[in-house]
Amino acid sequence: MTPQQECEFREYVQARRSGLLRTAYLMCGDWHRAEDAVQSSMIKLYAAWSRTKLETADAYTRRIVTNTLIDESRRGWFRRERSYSELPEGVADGSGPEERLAAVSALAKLPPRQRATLVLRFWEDLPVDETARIMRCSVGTVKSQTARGLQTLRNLYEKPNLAGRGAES
Amino acid sequence: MNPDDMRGLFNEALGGADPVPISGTDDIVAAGRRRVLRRRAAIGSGAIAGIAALAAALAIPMGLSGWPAPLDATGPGTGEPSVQEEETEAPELEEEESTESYTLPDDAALAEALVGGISEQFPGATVPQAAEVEFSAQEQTEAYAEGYHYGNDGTRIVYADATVNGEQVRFFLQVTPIESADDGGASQEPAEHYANCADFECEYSPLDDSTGLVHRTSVDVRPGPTSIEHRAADGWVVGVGAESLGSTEAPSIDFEALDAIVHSIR
Repeated sequence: MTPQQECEFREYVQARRSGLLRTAYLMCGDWHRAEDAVQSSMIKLYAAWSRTKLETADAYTRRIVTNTLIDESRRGWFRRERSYSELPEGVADGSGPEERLAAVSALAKLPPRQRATLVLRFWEDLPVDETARIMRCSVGTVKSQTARGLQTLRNLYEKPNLAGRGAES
Repeated sequence: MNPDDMRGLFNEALGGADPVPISGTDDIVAAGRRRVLRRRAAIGSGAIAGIAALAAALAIPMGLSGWPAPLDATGPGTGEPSVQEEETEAPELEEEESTESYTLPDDAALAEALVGGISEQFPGATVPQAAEVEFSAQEQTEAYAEGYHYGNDGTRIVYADATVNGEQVRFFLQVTPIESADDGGASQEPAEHYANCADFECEYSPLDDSTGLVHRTSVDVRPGPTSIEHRAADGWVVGVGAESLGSTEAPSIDFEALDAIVHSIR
């Protein structure tokens, strides 16, 4: 990597890292796992930076983060790590704890792939086909995962006592 | 629950957080450099082993015939290969990575990932232990002799015979190192070349700038699907396929399951 490329990489990391961290957190509900996934994606991106176009770097890092978090959930180790969505040091918490806990708890009840699909579609505002590429599935699967995820949330919000904590995702 | 509701839900979950990453950009750059250096060190040691093997191959017949060993293969008067001295220095980060090649995960990890992926995608399937399956060069397989060529030179295969919903299925994992890092990138042509699509029906789709996915279907020799990822940035090609055991019909395995198994292999 040339010094110029490394400079561009640093600028990219500084510009995108916080946004990617929020996306990762919404996918997993744990700031520490989110931080690990984002850091891993950035390290991989460094190694591939000289062969990566700037306009496709976002898709590359989103794909690594998404699939890293889904892979972790498949392996199951995270199920032993109870996720109570603690904020890391230095993170400001700007909303009421009850609302926040209710939202976190609702998202935690979604299966990992449904949750990641909703985050990519409605937080990142990605179109269906790009979401499908990141998730490595068909457009039809993205649509069905989206519909199921939204239905799950609707059902949850119709029921009382949503704010139970520690649900497995 | 509409898109606006979803965005509101996400905002509530974040709680107005403005996350401050724990590690800095310098840490990431340093870790990225170490990753590149480790990769190059592994490549360097492999190259040195190859040179040493070549030197030994040259020296042995010369020694047997009574000729002196060549000076470029052994240091004068020391009997030690001079090339080893060069290898004690850590490799330096070069400005260009275009000549870089890569190392693959070890065989045991790949076998474990294949068996684990089958179990995960097909709950209840009977699968072998990872330690029971072994890699071989594609040229050494029965399928190759029948004309089923999985990839190009350097492709290695491991089989895992399983029972899925009462159906006998032979899964296989194929891996191929990409000959050079910039060997065509992840475009359709190199991906189909490494998947040996000249012999099969293939459908290519790009996954991102450095990864392409090939869905390969064998219709005559050992019919069945294979999902193959061409990972240009990582420097290798990995595929998982399925064929029937004891039948000439393709197994009831779809690409989506194979895609998931391939993706889980890192």
